[in-house]
Amino acid sequence: MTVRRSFERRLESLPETVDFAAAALADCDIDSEQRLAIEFAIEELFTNMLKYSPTDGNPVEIAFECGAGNVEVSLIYTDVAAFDVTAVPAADVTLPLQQRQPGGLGLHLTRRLVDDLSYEYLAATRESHVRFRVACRRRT
Amino acid sequence: MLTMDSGPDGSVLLIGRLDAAQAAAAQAFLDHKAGRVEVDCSRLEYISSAGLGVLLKTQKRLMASGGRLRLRGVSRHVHDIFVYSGFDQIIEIAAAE
Repeated sequence: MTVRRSFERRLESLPETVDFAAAALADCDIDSEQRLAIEFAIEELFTNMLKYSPTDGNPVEIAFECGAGNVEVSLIYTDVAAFDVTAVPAADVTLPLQQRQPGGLGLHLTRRLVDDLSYEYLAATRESHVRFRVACRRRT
Repeated sequence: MLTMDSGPDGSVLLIGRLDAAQAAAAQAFLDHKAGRVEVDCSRLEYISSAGLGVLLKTQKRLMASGGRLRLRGVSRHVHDIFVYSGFDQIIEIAAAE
Protein backbone atom coordinates (compact mmCIF):
# COMPACT_ATOMS: atom_id res chain seq x y z
CA MET A 1 0.00 0.00 0.00
CA THR A 2 1.28 3.46 -0.84
CA VAL A 3 0.85 6.36 1.52
CA ARG A 4 1.64 9.88 0.39
CA ARG A 5 1.52 13.38 1.74
CA SER A 6 2.57 16.84 0.64
CA PHE A 7 4.70 19.22 2.65
CA GLU A 8 5.32 22.90 2.38
CA ARG A 9 8.68 23.71 0.87
CA ARG A 10 10.38 25.11 3.95
CA LEU A 11 12.72 23.91 6.63
CA GLU A 12 9.99 24.10 9.24
CA SER A 13 8.27 21.18 7.52
CA LEU A 14 11.07 18.83 8.46
CA PRO A 15 9.58 17.63 11.77
CA GLU A 16 6.32 16.87 9.95
CA THR A 17 8.19 14.67 7.49
CA VAL A 18 9.69 12.75 10.42
CA ASP A 19 6.25 12.22 11.95
CA PHE A 20 4.86 11.14 8.60
CA ALA A 21 7.71 8.68 8.09
CA ALA A 22 7.15 7.20 11.53
CA ALA A 23 3.47 6.68 10.81
CA ALA A 24 4.08 5.32 7.32
CA LEU A 25 6.69 2.85 8.53
CA ALA A 26 4.82 1.76 11.64
CA ASP A 27 3.56 -1.43 10.06
CA CYS A 28 6.65 -2.20 7.99
CA ASP A 29 8.91 -5.02 9.08
CA ILE A 30 11.91 -2.76 9.38
CA ASP A 31 14.48 -2.30 12.10
CA SER A 32 15.36 0.90 13.90
CA GLU A 33 18.62 1.42 12.02
CA GLN A 34 16.84 1.23 8.68
CA ARG A 35 14.13 3.56 9.92
CA LEU A 36 16.80 6.13 10.82
CA ALA A 37 18.49 5.62 7.45
CA ILE A 38 15.21 6.39 5.69
CA GLU A 39 14.66 9.47 7.84
CA PHE A 40 18.22 10.56 7.07
CA ALA A 41 17.74 10.19 3.32
CA ILE A 42 14.45 12.09 3.38
CA GLU A 43 15.97 14.94 5.36
CA GLU A 44 18.99 15.21 3.09
CA LEU A 45 16.94 15.07 -0.11
CA PHE A 46 14.36 17.50 1.26
CA THR A 47 16.91 20.06 2.48
CA ASN A 48 18.96 19.66 -0.69
CA MET A 49 15.89 20.63 -2.67
CA LEU A 50 15.37 23.67 -0.41
CA LYS A 51 18.96 24.72 -1.03
CA TYR A 52 18.65 24.71 -4.80
CA SER A 53 15.02 25.67 -5.38
CA PRO A 54 12.82 28.53 -4.25
CA THR A 55 11.20 27.87 -0.90
CA ASP A 56 7.89 29.43 -1.87
CA GLY A 57 7.15 26.94 -4.60
CA ASN A 58 4.77 24.03 -4.82
CA PRO A 59 4.64 21.50 -2.01
CA VAL A 60 6.89 18.46 -1.99
CA GLU A 61 5.19 15.09 -2.11
CA ILE A 62 6.66 12.22 -0.17
CA ALA A 63 5.36 8.69 -0.69
CA PHE A 64 6.10 5.39 1.03
CA GLU A 65 5.38 1.95 -0.25
CA CYS A 66 6.04 -0.88 2.15
CA GLY A 67 6.19 -4.05 0.08
CA ALA A 68 7.43 -7.56 0.58
CA GLY A 69 11.00 -7.14 1.68
CA ASN A 70 11.38 -3.51 0.65
CA VAL A 71 10.42 0.00 1.54
CA GLU A 72 10.35 2.35 -1.43
CA VAL A 73 10.33 6.08 -0.88
CA SER A 74 9.79 8.78 -3.45
CA LEU A 75 10.00 12.54 -3.28
CA ILE A 76 8.42 14.61 -6.02
CA TYR A 77 9.24 18.28 -6.44
CA THR A 78 7.37 20.38 -8.95
CA ASP A 79 8.37 23.69 -10.48
CA VAL A 80 12.07 23.11 -9.92
CA ALA A 81 15.18 23.13 -12.05
CA ALA A 82 16.84 19.79 -12.71
CA PHE A 83 19.33 18.65 -10.10
CA ASP A 84 20.46 15.07 -10.43
CA VAL A 85 21.18 13.95 -6.89
CA THR A 86 22.79 10.77 -8.20
CA ALA A 87 25.39 12.71 -10.19
CA VAL A 88 26.90 14.67 -7.31
CA PRO A 89 30.56 13.68 -6.86
CA ALA A 90 31.41 11.66 -3.79
CA ALA A 91 32.75 13.64 -0.87
CA ASP A 92 36.36 13.10 0.18
CA VAL A 93 35.88 11.80 3.71
CA THR A 94 39.61 11.31 4.24
CA LEU A 95 40.47 15.00 4.40
CA PRO A 96 42.06 16.20 7.63
CA LEU A 97 40.15 18.56 9.87
CA GLN A 98 41.90 21.66 8.56
CA GLN A 99 40.72 20.98 5.03
CA ARG A 100 37.16 20.06 5.94
CA GLN A 101 34.33 22.47 5.25
CA PRO A 102 30.72 22.06 6.36
CA GLY A 103 28.44 20.74 3.63
CA GLY A 104 28.71 18.22 0.86
CA LEU A 105 28.13 15.14 2.99
CA GLY A 106 24.36 14.77 2.86
CA LEU A 107 23.98 13.14 -0.54
CA HIS A 108 27.22 11.22 -0.07
CA LEU A 109 25.86 9.64 3.10
CA THR A 110 22.44 9.11 1.60
CA ARG A 111 23.96 7.01 -1.17
CA ARG A 112 25.78 5.02 1.48
CA LEU A 113 22.67 4.37 3.56
CA VAL A 114 20.01 3.50 0.99
CA ASP A 115 19.72 1.29 -2.08
CA ASP A 116 18.90 2.17 -5.65
CA LEU A 117 18.81 5.93 -5.38
CA SER A 118 17.44 7.17 -8.69
CA TYR A 119 16.54 10.48 -10.26
CA GLU A 120 14.26 11.49 -13.09
CA TYR A 121 13.46 14.96 -14.37
CA LEU A 122 10.36 15.75 -16.40
CA ALA A 123 11.21 18.93 -18.23
CA ALA A 124 7.69 19.51 -19.52
CA THR A 125 6.30 19.84 -16.02
CA ARG A 126 9.57 20.82 -14.30
CA GLU A 127 9.24 17.86 -11.97
CA SER A 128 12.04 16.10 -10.16
CA HIS A 129 11.37 12.55 -9.03
CA VAL A 130 13.79 11.03 -6.54
CA ARG A 131 13.35 7.45 -5.43
CA PHE A 132 15.21 5.09 -3.18
CA ARG A 133 14.71 1.70 -1.65
CA VAL A 134 15.68 0.05 1.60
CA ALA A 135 15.60 -3.71 1.96
CA CYS A 136 13.77 -4.71 5.10
CA ARG A 137 15.49 -6.43 7.99
CA ARG A 138 13.70 -7.75 10.99
CA ARG A 139 12.88 -5.28 13.72
CA THR A 140 15.37 -4.90 16.54
CA MET B 1 13.31 17.92 18.73
CA LEU B 2 16.67 18.49 20.37
CA THR B 3 17.37 19.29 23.99
CA MET B 4 20.79 20.60 25.00
CA ASP B 5 22.02 20.86 28.52
CA SER B 6 25.15 20.89 30.60
CA GLY B 7 25.79 17.87 32.79
CA PRO B 8 27.06 18.02 36.39
CA ASP B 9 30.56 17.13 35.18
CA GLY B 10 30.53 19.99 32.69
CA SER B 11 29.77 17.78 29.75
CA VAL B 12 27.25 18.71 27.09
CA LEU B 13 24.13 16.58 26.86
CA LEU B 14 22.52 16.23 23.46
CA ILE B 15 19.10 14.62 23.64
CA GLY B 16 16.92 13.85 20.64
CA ARG B 17 17.59 14.71 17.02
CA LEU B 18 20.37 16.92 15.71
CA ASP B 19 18.92 17.67 12.29
CA ALA B 20 18.73 20.65 9.96
CA ALA B 21 15.84 22.14 11.90
CA GLN B 22 17.88 22.10 15.13
CA ALA B 23 21.35 22.85 13.80
CA ALA B 24 21.28 26.61 14.39
CA ALA B 25 20.22 26.20 18.01
CA ALA B 26 22.85 23.52 18.60
CA GLN B 27 25.53 25.71 17.06
CA ALA B 28 24.54 28.65 19.25
CA PHE B 29 24.73 26.42 22.33
CA LEU B 30 28.12 24.95 21.46
CA ASP B 31 29.53 28.34 20.49
CA HIS B 32 29.59 29.17 24.22
CA LYS B 33 31.78 26.19 25.08
CA ALA B 34 35.56 26.35 25.29
CA GLY B 35 38.48 24.06 26.00
CA ARG B 36 38.05 20.31 26.12
CA VAL B 37 34.37 19.67 25.64
CA GLU B 38 32.89 16.26 26.38
CA VAL B 39 29.60 15.59 24.61
CA ASP B 40 27.31 12.91 26.00
CA CYS B 41 25.56 11.41 22.98
CA SER B 42 23.92 8.52 24.82
CA ARG B 43 20.48 10.04 24.22
CA LEU B 44 21.22 11.46 20.79
CA GLU B 45 18.97 9.39 18.55
CA TYR B 46 19.81 10.87 15.18
CA ILE B 47 22.25 13.14 13.41
CA SER B 48 22.14 14.42 9.84
CA SER B 49 24.72 16.23 7.74
CA ALA B 50 23.55 19.51 9.24
CA GLY B 51 24.44 18.15 12.67
CA LEU B 52 27.82 17.03 11.39
CA GLY B 53 28.39 20.57 10.21
CA VAL B 54 27.73 21.85 13.72
CA LEU B 55 30.26 19.45 15.21
CA LEU B 56 32.82 20.25 12.51
CA LYS B 57 32.60 23.99 13.08
CA THR B 58 32.84 23.46 16.82
CA GLN B 59 35.83 21.14 16.57
CA LYS B 60 37.66 23.58 14.32
CA ARG B 61 37.02 26.48 16.65
CA LEU B 62 38.02 24.55 19.76
CA MET B 63 41.18 23.11 18.26
CA ALA B 64 42.27 26.54 17.09
CA SER B 65 42.54 27.50 20.75
CA GLY B 66 43.96 24.24 22.08
CA GLY B 67 40.70 22.53 22.96
CA ARG B 68 38.78 19.73 21.34
CA LEU B 69 35.56 17.77 21.29
CA ARG B 70 35.20 14.29 22.70
CA LEU B 71 32.01 12.31 22.11
CA ARG B 72 30.81 9.51 24.32
CA GLY B 73 27.82 7.18 24.41
CA VAL B 74 27.40 7.22 20.65
CA SER B 75 24.62 4.97 19.32
CA ARG B 76 25.16 2.55 16.46
CA HIS B 77 23.33 4.73 13.93
CA VAL B 78 25.19 7.88 14.92
CA HIS B 79 28.48 5.99 14.97
CA ASP B 80 27.81 4.71 11.45
CA ILE B 81 27.25 8.27 10.27
CA PHE B 82 30.55 9.33 11.84
CA VAL B 83 32.41 6.46 10.20
CA TYR B 84 30.85 6.94 6.76
CA SER B 85 31.68 10.65 6.87
CA GLY B 86 35.20 10.17 8.22
CA PHE B 87 34.33 12.11 11.34
CA ASP B 88 35.64 9.29 13.47
CA GLN B 89 39.08 10.38 12.22
CA ILE B 90 38.74 14.05 13.13
CA ILE B 91 36.73 13.91 16.36
CA GLU B 92 37.55 11.63 19.27
CA ILE B 93 34.79 9.12 19.98
CA ALA B 94 35.05 7.26 23.26
CA ALA B 95 34.72 3.51 22.98
CA ALA B 96 31.36 2.11 24.05
CA GLU B 97 31.30 1.11 27.71
